[in-house]
Amino acid sequence: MPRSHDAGAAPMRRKRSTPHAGWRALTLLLLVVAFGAGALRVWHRPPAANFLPSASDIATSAAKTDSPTSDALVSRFVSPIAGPHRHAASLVELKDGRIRAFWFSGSQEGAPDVEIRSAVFDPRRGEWSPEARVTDRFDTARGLWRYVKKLGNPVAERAADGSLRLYYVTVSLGGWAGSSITTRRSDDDGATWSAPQRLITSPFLNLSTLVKGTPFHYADDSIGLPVYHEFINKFGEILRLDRDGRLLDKQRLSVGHLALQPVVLVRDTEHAQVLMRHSDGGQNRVIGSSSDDGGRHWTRPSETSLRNPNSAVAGVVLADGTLLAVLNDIEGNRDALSLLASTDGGANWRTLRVLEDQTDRHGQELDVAAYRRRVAELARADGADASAAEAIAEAASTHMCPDARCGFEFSYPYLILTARGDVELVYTWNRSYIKHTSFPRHWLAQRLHETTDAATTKTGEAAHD
Amino acid sequence: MINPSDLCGLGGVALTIAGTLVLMLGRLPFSRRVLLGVGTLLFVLLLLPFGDLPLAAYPRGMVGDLSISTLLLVLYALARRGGLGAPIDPARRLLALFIPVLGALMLYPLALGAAYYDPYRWGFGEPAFLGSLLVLSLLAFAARLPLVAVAISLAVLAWAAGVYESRNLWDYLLDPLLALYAFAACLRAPFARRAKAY
Repeated sequence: MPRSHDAGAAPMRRKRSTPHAGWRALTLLLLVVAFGAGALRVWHRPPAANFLPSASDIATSAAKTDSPTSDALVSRFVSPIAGPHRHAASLVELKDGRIRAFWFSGSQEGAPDVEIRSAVFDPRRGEWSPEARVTDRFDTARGLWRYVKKLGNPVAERAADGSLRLYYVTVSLGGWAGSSITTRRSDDDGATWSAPQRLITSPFLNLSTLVKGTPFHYADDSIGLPVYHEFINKFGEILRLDRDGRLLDKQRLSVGHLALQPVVLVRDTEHAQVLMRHSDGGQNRVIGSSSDDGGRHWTRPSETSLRNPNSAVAGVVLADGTLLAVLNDIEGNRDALSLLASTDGGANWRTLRVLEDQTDRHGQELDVAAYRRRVAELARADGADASAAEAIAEAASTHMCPDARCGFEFSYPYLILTARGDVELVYTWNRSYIKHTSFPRHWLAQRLHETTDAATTKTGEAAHD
Repeated sequence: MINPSDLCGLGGVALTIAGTLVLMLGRLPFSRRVLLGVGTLLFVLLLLPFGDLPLAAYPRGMVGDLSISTLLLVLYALARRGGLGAPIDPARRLLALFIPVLGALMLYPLALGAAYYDPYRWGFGEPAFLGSLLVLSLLAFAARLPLVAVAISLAVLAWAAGVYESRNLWDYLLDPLLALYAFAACLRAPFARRAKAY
């Protein structure tokens, strides 16, 4: 009996084990196929590449023509329309040498009605085109197939294939700490844009990556996108995107609560400086970092000699390696803005031009009437007629006089070097306008020469001219 | 026109919401047919336009695309509720859930800026990371944890195929909702009076 019982049980065990073994074989097959496909993807991952300096950057046709622009320093508002809150402007040079600006605009920062707007500057005529909408949150949500609550900072860059890439902040959940980056492509220099795509940059609900700094290029045509995080910690990073805008890698520049809004100044194929906004208020300094191996490694961040009242910094590298930066070179507030230069790789800086300065009002309370008078004076000094100056004063007081106490703000600068060698700056002017200043290359050369003669090396002291 | 990665993302969110509701309703005395009908109806409703967007686009805006592991876990739980699939004994289940907990404890603090080292970078195609996952899958296979081996393999396959908009393998392996569920399950396990085969 025992024998016959065993004889009967053995076939039953075989029957039970057959489907089980089949599933195990299928699991093994899946494992082999999956990791084979994964290995192929890893194999095709592009290796790290050196920087592509901006002097040898993707050239536009304007590089070949010397347009008859003035050598004088000229400033103007990108759009004269009064009313909306405007902030976080950026620039990109078009193929024909014109300059396209982007910014966000709405009833207030973070409001649901905020749109990404754009206008084009013609350097030959010295005029900005009328502003136009690029996208709003509804348009972006439809393209992303997900809810979008608000929009923020836009920056643009020309990819190696000639297309323009726009990167802008979108928020679906919470405040700016809930940001992620959306990108679009244009093959007609910004006249029309592709459907948006979301960049996934963080494993935790894709929180929270924002753009502000000027993108740069690597030698393999990939794009470096300086970004920063604001959820729990505040720190800077660099995203590396392939020529099709797909994320390849990311690098951390700082940790904890130290710094945000990095700007990468590429000096040559191997050397670059990073300048970052100090994320604490008070009497702080711009945070710096550097790389001497094409961006493969970055030094630990440390304070530079540049003052920084927790405000954004812009920078650009001239063809001769001179670094230019625009920042609020003061201990507190954002009511002064200066252009500075360094000819020793960022060790020492000197002021080339104080662009805005309302620091004589520090410690004084400015009521609405006095503020409007002051703003109107500034507008008239910039060439506005009486009625335009009044409209500008009205618009500025709308955004800069909460609780009937007013202040000045000149912030969020953004610099680009054009193919002609001129430097173009835009910045937020009292949250009401985007102001544009052109620094012709001859003006820059002369000013650099003058300030070298009277070398006022910055060692932490003010060097306003 | 919706692109495939958005379709997969919306489908995953709809499946997870509908599946979770069915699993919760399954604790009440509803027949399998009713549960199947409710689940299918909810899944379809979540993908239908509500205003400009499908309903699933609203939770997707907040949580993003859910990992392949989460989708597999939901499908497995639904299959078990439907009487399909083999049960996992409690000790192996706990071991399986401990893996995403460990992964989350390592990944999230560092990815959120606690240190210069960021393991999220591994997910962009680091060979050592893929090799480690292969070893983990083989160990899970040998330890008779086929669900873990299948979850990792499907995640790697989906990443290689670019199913989601994310280019990072971590996003296919793990998401905060899975980590939260696994963490809660691991915490609850020692207090369970009677371990029940899943």
